[in-house]
Amino acid sequence: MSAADKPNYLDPRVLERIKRLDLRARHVVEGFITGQHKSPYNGFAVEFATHREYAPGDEIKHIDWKVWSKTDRLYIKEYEEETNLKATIILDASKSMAYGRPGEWSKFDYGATAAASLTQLLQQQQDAVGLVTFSNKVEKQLPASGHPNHLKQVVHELEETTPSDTTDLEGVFPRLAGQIRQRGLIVLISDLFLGLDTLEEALKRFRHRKHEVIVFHVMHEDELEFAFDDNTLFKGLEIAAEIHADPRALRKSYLEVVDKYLNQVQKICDNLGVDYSLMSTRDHLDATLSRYLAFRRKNHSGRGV
Amino acid sequence: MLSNLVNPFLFGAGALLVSVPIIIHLLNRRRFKTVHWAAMDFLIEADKLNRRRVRLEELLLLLLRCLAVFLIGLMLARPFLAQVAGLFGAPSYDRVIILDDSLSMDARVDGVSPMEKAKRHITELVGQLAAERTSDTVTLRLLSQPNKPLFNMQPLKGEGGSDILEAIKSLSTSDLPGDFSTALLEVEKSMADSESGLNRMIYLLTDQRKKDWMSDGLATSSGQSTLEPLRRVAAQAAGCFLVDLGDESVANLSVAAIEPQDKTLIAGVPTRFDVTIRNHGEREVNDVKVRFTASASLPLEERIDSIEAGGTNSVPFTFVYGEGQTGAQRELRASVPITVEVVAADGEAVDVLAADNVRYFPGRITPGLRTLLVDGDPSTDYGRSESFFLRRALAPRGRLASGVDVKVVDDTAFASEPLEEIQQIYLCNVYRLSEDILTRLEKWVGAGGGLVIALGDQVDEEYYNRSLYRNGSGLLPVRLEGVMGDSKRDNWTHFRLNVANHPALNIFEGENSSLLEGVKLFRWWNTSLPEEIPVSTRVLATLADQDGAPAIVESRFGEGQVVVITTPLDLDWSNWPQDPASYLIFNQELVRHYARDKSGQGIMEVGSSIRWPVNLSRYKIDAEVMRPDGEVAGIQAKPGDSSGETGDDPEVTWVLNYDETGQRGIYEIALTPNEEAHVEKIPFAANIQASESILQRADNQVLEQALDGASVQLVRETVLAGLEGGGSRSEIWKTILFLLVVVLCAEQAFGWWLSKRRTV
Repeated sequence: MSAADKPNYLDPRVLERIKRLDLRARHVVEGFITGQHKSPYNGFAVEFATHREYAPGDEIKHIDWKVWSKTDRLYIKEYEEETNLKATIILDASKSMAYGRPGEWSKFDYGATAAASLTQLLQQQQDAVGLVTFSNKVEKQLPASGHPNHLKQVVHELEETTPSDTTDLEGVFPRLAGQIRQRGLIVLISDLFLGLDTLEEALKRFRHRKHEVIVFHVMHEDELEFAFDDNTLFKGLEIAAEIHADPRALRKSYLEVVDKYLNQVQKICDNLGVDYSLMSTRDHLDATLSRYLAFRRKNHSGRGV
Repeated sequence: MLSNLVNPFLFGAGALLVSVPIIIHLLNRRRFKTVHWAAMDFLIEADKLNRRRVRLEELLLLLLRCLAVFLIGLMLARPFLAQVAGLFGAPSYDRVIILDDSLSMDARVDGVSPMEKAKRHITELVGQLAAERTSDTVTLRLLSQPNKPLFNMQPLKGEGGSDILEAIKSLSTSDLPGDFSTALLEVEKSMADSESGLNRMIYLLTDQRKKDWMSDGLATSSGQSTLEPLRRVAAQAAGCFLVDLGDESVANLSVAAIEPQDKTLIAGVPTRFDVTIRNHGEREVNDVKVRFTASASLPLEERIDSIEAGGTNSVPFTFVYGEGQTGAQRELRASVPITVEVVAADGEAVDVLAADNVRYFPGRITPGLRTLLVDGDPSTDYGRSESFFLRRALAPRGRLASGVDVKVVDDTAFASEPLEEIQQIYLCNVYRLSEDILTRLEKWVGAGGGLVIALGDQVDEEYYNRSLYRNGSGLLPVRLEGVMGDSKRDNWTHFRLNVANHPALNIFEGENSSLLEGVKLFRWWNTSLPEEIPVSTRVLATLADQDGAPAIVESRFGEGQVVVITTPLDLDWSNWPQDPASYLIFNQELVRHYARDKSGQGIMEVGSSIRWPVNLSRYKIDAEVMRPDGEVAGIQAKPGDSSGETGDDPEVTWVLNYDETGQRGIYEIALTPNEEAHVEKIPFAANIQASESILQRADNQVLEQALDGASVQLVRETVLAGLEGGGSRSEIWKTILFLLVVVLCAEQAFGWWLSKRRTV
């Protein structure tokens, strides 16, 4: 996306979108919380504090001047906010995420809302949330922070991000692991349209660094159900291919292929101890999140989000 | 295939419509929406997995839909199967062509005759069949030879077709009359004989003349006899077509008759021929030329100014055989073929049929009317014999021929005399007749002979009354009742004419009556008529002073006539022979009037056989026939049956028979006498049937009504190959409808199954 196309931050429509995303996230989380009787975060303790290199935007008051005096380097001393959990939301902004019906949420919208919702959810629990968006490279990286303002920043970032034109997940995806050093929770929101080997490799790396990994697999309902009726020319979003077909005739095979793929992804995740949740754009986000959290509470009693 | 359809055009439309599902399919493919799709890899893989199966399914669906449309088209086209064809096997047919080759098919209108049209149509049909349906066979029957098919189930494979085409080229009309009923009966017979299940397509090509199809109206037996077999044949055939090639024009001139006014043609004696020309057309014909050609002599030509519509007009020709020749040079017996031709100035406009413009007449020149004098009182003394004067009166000596050929026999020789050629017989004062000769004589008179019985002193009254009179049923019309008169010749009476305008005696009427009245009759037989006088019995002359006693009585016996003269024809009882004027004229007129008419001998219709009795004691057994086309055929006399026409003549029991008279014209039988080298020729004229000249056509509506219910299709000339049967063919639209329903159900079920499978 060129600079000229970038949405103006002050553009009322962008503001509106922010507001809406903000509201949307809040709405999702409130709906979710009101449904909860017992917080899953009770008794959860973060056991370590660390220094991290100063990044522009960090508050100066957090700089550990003692370290600076010894080493002449600026480190942020994280002690107050990082009491709970450091979570990093990795959002796929590749072109395939742009798929959606006109006037409705695209997969990216859905993923972004999920990311915002999660951020708000986690922040309410005083957890630190960071955001990484990527396409063929890491687009944006917001360090995890528990500051109340951080939510706004995250939402703003999400808003400013649009799915990229370029689609080379294969190269960038495995490298993400190296860029997130803080041990914590990794939430990967993606349609996972990449080679299974690559996916496995990347997840392995996350696990290797002892990250807790949750994969939110975002699929559009069209992709899951393939409910097309009319003769359709399918043009590849990421690859230059066209298929002219009667969707009804293709449907069965397609569903088989998708099913097989989903099973394989599930299997990889299971093998690596990665939590996996399939999100269809048809389902309401709160329901999806709720379903996932319920699942998680059952399987990881007393552990993590 | 197309020929098996009632509506081939609908079939064509159906065939075109088959493409509709394909077009819809292609159009559907053009109408699509575009989706920018993310999960392309999945789709590509799914497509790979799916492609073959989906293609197959879609193809199957398309086929089913195409088949459905095709079946709809086929059903609307109403196809039918001929009798034996398998469900989809094309049946093979025997194409039975019955060609009317009667002369009327030559009637030329606008330069084209129905025969030419027919030949063209048959050529087209055979050509097309040979090209497309080699399994078919062709049977070609000509109406002129109904029981002898020109081709019988000739296969079209190989040379078969070209043989037929070659034969058709040389076809022409026949002079023989057409006979539909025989041809149809033959077809029916061959249908019954041949293996069952053979499909036949019958084509009758005709100009549909009324004479062939119905006489007047339909109730006549001849009309029925054509239509009934047609009905039966059509019922058994896969198709039967009456192809009308004729034209409405009936304008036609024909030579209706050539009638000589004499009973025999005599060398050197002028004979008048009345030639009758008939105008069959519907308007008056003007300026008609008639040409009369006798043998090698120069043609005579006359003109007829006009002949009214439907009427006739006659023109006389006078012809003398051997004119300018002396008696010695003349052949006394000869054959003179006479041809009369009519030419209309307006040509085809008034005369479409040229074939009947010629008529033939077999001119048989004889020495004269063959007269036999049976002398009951023969004598070698000059002037004494009973027939002495009569013979000289009938055939006077001299340069000019009288036209009477006299032969004298006595009563014993008479018993063995052949009567076949005799035209007139005088029984002059004959005592008695043997039983045998009496029977033959009665037969001869009954067949048309002229008999004069002159009574006299030799006559046995008792025998005459018993055997000849037989109470009025015999040859003699009067009963004899004794001789009257004055034997001393002192008193006499004379004839008095009793009738007026009698063709033989009218010459003696009026001022000529003195001729007869001058004759002195001294004695005579008293006679009496039967109580009930038959209508045909007339007293021509009475005796003047004897209260009207009959002197000359005429009576009909069968076809012939008998004249009784109550006095002899010599000088015994009268002085009549001494009165040459009345005696000679009377007898000459008598012979000319009563003699058996032989002038029409030898006139026949084409197709009838020539029979000629041969006396083997005079002629050789082998003879020749000169045909009109110049060919000479040898024939041999065979023993004739005695009950036939030769039965009255014991010596003539051998007959020459010739049947190949299918061509019009003069046929001449050449007989070689045993002794002489000179060949005798007897001409016969075969003329076409008069009905051939009548071109009135059978009314289509009437014919249709008459054929109502029969599976005969009446068609105007058309392409024969396009004609297909309507009779016993079986339409299969019900089967197709059933198939269509099955296909549609299959299509629906398959479509439903596909969509179900896809929505799962």
